[in-house]
Amino acid sequence: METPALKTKGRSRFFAGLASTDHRAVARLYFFLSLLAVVLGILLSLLMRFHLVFPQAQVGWFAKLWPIGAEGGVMTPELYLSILTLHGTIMVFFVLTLAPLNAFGNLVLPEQIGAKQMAFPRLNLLSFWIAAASFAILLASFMGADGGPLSGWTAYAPLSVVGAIAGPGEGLGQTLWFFSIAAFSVSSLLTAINIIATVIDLRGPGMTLMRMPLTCWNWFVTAILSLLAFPVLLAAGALILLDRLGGTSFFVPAGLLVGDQTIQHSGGSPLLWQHLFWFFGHPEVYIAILPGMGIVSHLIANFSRKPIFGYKAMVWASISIAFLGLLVWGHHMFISGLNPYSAIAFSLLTMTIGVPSALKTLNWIATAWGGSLRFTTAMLFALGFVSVFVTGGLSGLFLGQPQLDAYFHDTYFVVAHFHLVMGIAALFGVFAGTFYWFPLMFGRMLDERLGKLHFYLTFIGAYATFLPMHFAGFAGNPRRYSDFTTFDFLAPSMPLQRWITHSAFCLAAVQLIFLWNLFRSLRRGATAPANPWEATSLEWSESESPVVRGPYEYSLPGEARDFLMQNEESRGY
Amino acid sequence: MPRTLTQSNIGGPPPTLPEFPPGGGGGDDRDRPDRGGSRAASITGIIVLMCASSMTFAAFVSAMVVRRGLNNDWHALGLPRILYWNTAILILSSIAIDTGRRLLRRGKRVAFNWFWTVGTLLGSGFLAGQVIAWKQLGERGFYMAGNPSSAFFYVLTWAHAAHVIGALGAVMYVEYCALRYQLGPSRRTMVDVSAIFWHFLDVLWLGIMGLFVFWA
Amino acid sequence: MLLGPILLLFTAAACVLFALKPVWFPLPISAEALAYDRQFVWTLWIAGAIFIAAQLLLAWTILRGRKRAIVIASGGRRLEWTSGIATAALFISLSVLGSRGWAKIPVRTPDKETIEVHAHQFAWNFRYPGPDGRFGRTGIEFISDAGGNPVGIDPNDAAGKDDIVTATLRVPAGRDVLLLLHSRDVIHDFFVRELRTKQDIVPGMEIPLEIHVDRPGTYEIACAELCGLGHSQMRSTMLVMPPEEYDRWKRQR
Repeated sequence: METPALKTKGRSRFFAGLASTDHRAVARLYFFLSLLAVVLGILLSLLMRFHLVFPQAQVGWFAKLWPIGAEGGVMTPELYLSILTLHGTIMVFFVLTLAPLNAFGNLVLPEQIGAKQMAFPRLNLLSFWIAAASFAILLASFMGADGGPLSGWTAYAPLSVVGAIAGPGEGLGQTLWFFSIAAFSVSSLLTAINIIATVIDLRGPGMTLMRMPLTCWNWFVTAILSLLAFPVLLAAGALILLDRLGGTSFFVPAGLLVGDQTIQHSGGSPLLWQHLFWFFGHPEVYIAILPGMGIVSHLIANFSRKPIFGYKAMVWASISIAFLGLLVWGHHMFISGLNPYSAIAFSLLTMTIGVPSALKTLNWIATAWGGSLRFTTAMLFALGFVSVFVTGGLSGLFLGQPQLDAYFHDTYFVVAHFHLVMGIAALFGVFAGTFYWFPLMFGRMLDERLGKLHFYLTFIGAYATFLPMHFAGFAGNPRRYSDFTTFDFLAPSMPLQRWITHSAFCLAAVQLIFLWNLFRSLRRGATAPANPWEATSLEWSESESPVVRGPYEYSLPGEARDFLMQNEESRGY
Repeated sequence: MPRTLTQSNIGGPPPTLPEFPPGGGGGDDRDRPDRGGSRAASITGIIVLMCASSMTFAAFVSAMVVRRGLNNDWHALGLPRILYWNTAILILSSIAIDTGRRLLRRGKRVAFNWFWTVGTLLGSGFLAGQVIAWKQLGERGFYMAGNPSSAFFYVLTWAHAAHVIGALGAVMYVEYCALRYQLGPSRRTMVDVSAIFWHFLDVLWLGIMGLFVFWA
Repeated sequence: MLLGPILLLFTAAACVLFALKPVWFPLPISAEALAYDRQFVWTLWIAGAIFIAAQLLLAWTILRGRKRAIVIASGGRRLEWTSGIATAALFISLSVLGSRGWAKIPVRTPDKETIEVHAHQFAWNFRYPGPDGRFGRTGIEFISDAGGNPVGIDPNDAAGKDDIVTATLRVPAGRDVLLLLHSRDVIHDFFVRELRTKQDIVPGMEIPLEIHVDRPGTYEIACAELCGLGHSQMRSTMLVMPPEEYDRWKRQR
């Protein structure tokens, strides 16, 4: 399979790949940036899990890496919290936004809708380099002498505003962190503009909106959500940087005494930051999951040899999830000091999102029901997504009720919830996409046996790590604690926390199978045929004919084969 | 001319071949085949960009509304007189740019050049006027820090000015091509897109002025 | 294919885990906490039923999957609508039920025991109004942790002379208690597990939290909003005393 941007050899090929505006080349850049990010993010999480069960452990190379933060080899609370902040930021932004949307969207969207390129190829490349710069700035924010910011990926004011007096790393580190996020917002906006214009204007002949694969619908909806959410983060970031550097007081009230320092700001509101941040923050998690849902729909249809059950309903559900996702940000603030009546409104809207989500789940199962299932690795990850999404989504039923959230807020119940839906389900979407579209990216196939081994071990390991975590939440175990030794009530949870740590290390080790598979197949994977999955969508087609049918015409009665590509005339008999 | 506003007629009908200017004109018009899809895409792109910008300003304005209701430390800002002049200059520049755009569509190259040049100069004048306004506010003791209403004024006007600088860059690039008679059909989209965004910034400015004159 | 049996095993394991309960909620100590537990159990049964049904259905779908000739069933519109409406009804009623205990804004009345809670990096202090029933004026300029004035009571204010400031929270059992939450630096959160509630403490705001504890005992107070490097060290205790003992204690201070 030809991959146009990689026609030249060796070193010049590497540099050509860095500067190519071809959508596949840009997709590969995003893919590898996300891969780097996820490896770093997982290593950070292992450091955290280790420290939680061995808080006083002396580790020689801690002291070498962090002479101030881990003096004598023992991780200080501020180092733990800065690792926590970096972990969250990397995972949410550089893994779960870049991989599902930027990497796979750029790779597949133009081909699936019959366009030659994205609408603005140079803008696309610029978008990537801004994201890469944002990543560099983020890493820099943790390299300063003082360490990195310790306010979490949510960076609540006033902790994130008043500077180094509030904690180590809250000086230059926190400022750079905000610049990184601002740059990332710009990059995401440019990508959103590109995707929207591509879908609206560059569809090929015959490709109407209702003939688009669900992957494209979800990328389109996600891009619109991005367009509406990231500007708010950008605005909030500008305001908070002004509070930090320009002497303004948007988010800091009067009369604060931090440590022994009286703070000069006055008149601002910490809740204002929360409103602005979560107005972005909630859509962000739907930005992370919607592309994965599109991939799952697409793959289940492909590997069941059946049309997707309820195509129109699936489109409606994606649009509803995105629209409702803009209206529920207050459910992150139930106990913040919000007016309780607004909490009820946010709660009702939050529960309503469960409806289109449940509909999607039902339709996925209904698609696979009675199908001639092909259990490729990609299909396994798609089915696994359904299981994990159900489990993770159900804990949302508790968190969406303000009364119940009053206990669970900021406990490990929340951590379990978002790791299952984002850390596992969304990541399963990325794995599924990787196995499915690896042939498109590199002209080779990933090894199926290694893939299946990786899937089964990851599936078991993920549940083994995160299902027990809900119980830590039931016990009231608060999150973002650097150690559990101060409180008596945390002692009974220690065996559970140790189990989670051991399981997490095993889960992380299993990912080495995937990395091995990936890098080995890059060089020595089997050459991919033109349409390895016998799929109907255009990215697998070698002909330039116009589109004449919908995206999931599998097993049509009266046809010789069990699928017809979108641009294929009927063969009949 | 179709009556409904659709993708393809927002910037006017697809461009026709230009008239040559008096005195002949050279073969300088580098005509590339008009990729129809890319014209529509550019127009979609600029509309989408306007949505994103609007969201940013909406975020600032909602923060402003919340902040004003919080405490008693809000003092209405006395706007420097020059801002009203700036508003007029911006409106005039929009009129000049749009008149030029319509003339170009009818093929009147020379007239287009005059109007677009006027628009560019007026646009630059607006930016210069903003700088003067900021200086005057500073002289009166209204800085970023201290007073929330002046803080929001600076935030909104700086954000607007940042957009103006970007748009002015595009307008000046069109000007550059126009003066060298290099505005072939493939470049016409650029004219329409920069004009649309310029008008958007005009409307945005009127909104900001209205906010500070009537409410803040 | 193996995924089918694995899903069945996993569902069974999850049920076993919930039956065994490695760790669980502490005992509730107030009527609101009891109401919370009822709502929680309701939600758990509903979520559990959906969980089991969904995982089993998925497992069954996988187990049935094999190479076969496909017969595409038409329709299914009714199935979608029915499930959609059922889901909506279920989730919305859960939300309504869960909101019942929520929309009350606590009001300061004379019959309530009013206690100020002061959080700062990284400790708790509590202030009682003393026999005069009035809190003295405070200001950050008077704050001195080392000097024994962590709350910053103005020494010139007569009303503040009899204020009691402690490091542990003592409350009377069986009486309405109104806590007024303050923070002097960053956002903290007042969390007592046995009360089944928590409340963020936002600097610049005085946030009321009303509690009514029925069961005497000692309960830990934890901070539940990231407040800096000492976040996991911010511990205090709530000592719930029989009313007579509480009154005696107040008189003795």
